Amino acid sequence: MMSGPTVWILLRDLSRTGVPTALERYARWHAETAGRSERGSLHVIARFGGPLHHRLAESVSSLTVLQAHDRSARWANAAVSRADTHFRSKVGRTAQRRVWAARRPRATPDLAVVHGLGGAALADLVPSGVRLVTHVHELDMAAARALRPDALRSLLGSSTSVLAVSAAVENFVKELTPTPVEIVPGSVDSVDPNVPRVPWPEDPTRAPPGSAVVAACGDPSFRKGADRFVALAHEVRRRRPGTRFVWVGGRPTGGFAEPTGPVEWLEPSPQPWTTLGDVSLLVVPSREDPLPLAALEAGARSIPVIATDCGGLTPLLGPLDAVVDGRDIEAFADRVADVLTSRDRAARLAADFGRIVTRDYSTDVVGPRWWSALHRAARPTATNAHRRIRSRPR
Amino acid sequence: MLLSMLRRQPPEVTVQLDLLGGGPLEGAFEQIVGRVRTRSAAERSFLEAFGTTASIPSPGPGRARPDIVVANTLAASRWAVAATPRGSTLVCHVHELDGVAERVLPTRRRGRVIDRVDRFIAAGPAVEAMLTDRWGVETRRVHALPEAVEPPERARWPQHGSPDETGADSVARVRRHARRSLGIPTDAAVVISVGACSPRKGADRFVDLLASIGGLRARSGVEQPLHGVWVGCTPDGTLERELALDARRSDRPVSLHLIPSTTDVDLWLGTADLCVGVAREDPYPLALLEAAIRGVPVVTFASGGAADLIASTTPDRVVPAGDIASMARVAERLLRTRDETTADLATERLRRHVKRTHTADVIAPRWWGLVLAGVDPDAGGRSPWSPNAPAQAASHPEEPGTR
Repeated sequence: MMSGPTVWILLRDLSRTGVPTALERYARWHAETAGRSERGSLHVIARFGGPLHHRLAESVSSLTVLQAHDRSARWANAAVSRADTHFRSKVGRTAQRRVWAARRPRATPDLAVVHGLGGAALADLVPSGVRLVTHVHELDMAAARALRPDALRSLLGSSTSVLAVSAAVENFVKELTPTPVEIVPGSVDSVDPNVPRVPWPEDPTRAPPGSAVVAACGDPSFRKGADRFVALAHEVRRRRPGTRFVWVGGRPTGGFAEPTGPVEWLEPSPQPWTTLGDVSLLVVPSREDPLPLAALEAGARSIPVIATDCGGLTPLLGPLDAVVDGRDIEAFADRVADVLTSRDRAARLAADFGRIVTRDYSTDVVGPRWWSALHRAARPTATNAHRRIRSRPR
Repeated sequence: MLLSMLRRQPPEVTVQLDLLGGGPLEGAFEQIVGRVRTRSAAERSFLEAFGTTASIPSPGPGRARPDIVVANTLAASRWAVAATPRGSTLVCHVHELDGVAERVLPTRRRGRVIDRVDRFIAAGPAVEAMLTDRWGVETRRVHALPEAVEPPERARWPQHGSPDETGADSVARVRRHARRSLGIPTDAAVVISVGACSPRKGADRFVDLLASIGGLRARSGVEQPLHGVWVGCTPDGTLERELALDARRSDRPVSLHLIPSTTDVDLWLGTADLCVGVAREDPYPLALLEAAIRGVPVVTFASGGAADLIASTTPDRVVPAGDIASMARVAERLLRTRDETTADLATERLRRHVKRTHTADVIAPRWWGLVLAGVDPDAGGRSPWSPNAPAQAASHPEEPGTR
């Protein structure tokens, strides 16, 4: 009987965003379903903590968080100090070694996975000689924020294999490395069709009862297009007064803080679909989004989705005529108003997209692909035997 | 703004200038006031730590004790509070609105500044409302005064100009030169915005605005190419890089030109057919005034101090904050009708109004009046924000000796 590999998974944080959520779903599938003989063990190392900590900890063999979520634990931060130039002193290096020695997983890995490029800073913690898999969840903007271009090339070059969450990411990665790229997308859990939708809470001060509700999800940033959602709300409400626009993921802050306007900003929620379950339409106004899980989750719940031409959703929604150039606000609003006006169109879009999501993106389908890709990478072959971590990318 | 005021200082006034940091205008200041004292990094650190609690020896070696200290911006106010000798008058000219004001003078450090400053000069009605309504400063201590621009005939045109050419010739030549330097065809429509390439200035919305205008023009069958110019960028800035990426994306790329900060605003305004104000927060954007006074059509969000001014003469050119589609429609109409009489008349109306109420020649006497005596000499005049109404909040003359 063959035993499965011991895998270290490196990621940036345990927030409720797409990258950690995807890992939590893979890991839960792995814990519940993976063949016992090939299960191996998963050890997660995150630089920052977050609200997914407890759920993820239930599904993996060990979970190491190097720094508190509030990023105030200065000494813990020393463990990853080589990414932070201000800790390069001898004292800093000593502290770094001590913290890491106290917290590191005890199992020696057969394979290390950089899960999202934000985890690349932790690759230095992996013992030398261990094979590396890089699972890329980013496109140009997010990748540039996570790593310098030369560091990204170095990381991809030292990887045994590279996984990409969508075809858009695959194309992006292929321009940077000759390493073979395999698509392993994020996934959604199956939804019980018998669970009734929770009606959207009415707010007569904002809109008449029964008004359509258009929602968007995510960090309210430039990349996610929060400003574009505001512009869209202005334009659609001119055509369909009373339509409510709701952003779940918090209010823009700092320089991005929006003046009072037509959008209701709701804080991130551990159960967003309890709040969003009965919305009329989900829009993805992003400028760049490799594969937004919120859209897949909406599809699984038979909620129609319209997305900008921003990455991974284009091949899914394009054939359904639900992809727009989000920069042209009037054209974007035309499409949204069209779906809000025509119940048939909305139902057809929801059903068609829902079928695609259930068929290709449920965790039961994607989980085995993910584990199989890691399993293959952990085995020495003629082509990957020479690819081992020599030096950490910077 | 300060440079313009100092160029017009009354002869009986002697000015000593302390700068918290240097910059490209330092030489120009030195030409006017003589030696400029620029504080060191150590002094700035001291200010950061103790600015509102310490007393800084003033005025420094070889300098006279000031009768009046002017803090030009809230960012300088903590320093000024510490440096103002007992018995001297402290005036603070506030150019910031809520977001930036909170950053440079956080709520927890605001009390001593509010208590110590004898009078505030607010850069327009939006700043005045912040001080009186949200900060609780008594209205008699707050005087609203518009920002000022140099009249175009005094502005420095690029060095390749000739002194005897007419204004129109000069504009046409500058326009050709600027466009050529960016590779913009002479027949293209050019939309410009000026300011730091930051979310506060709304730079993140610029590509969407250009694409939306482009979409409207394409649907109307307009074939003239459209170019966007943002002046005020930082080479290799993150937002700049992401804007460039966003502009290139999709099968309908947007022609976007990101220009570093420059003192040659004339050069770039000379390229433009339209100037847009897309800021989320801007107390009184000088760029819009600069464009307006040069006869460049202006459209802006109702998100800052200039909205009232522009709405007073061209109300259809102010759109709700964040409403890109509305702005795109106005912009498309202005580009399409640039040469038509009605549009031209409206632009001309705004140009004349700005020239009458916002040039440094008009504002400087008012500013000096407020600084020296707390009296706005134009208190009975017309409000710069509404050409048809008498001054309302423009000034609150205070009695001598009161605070």
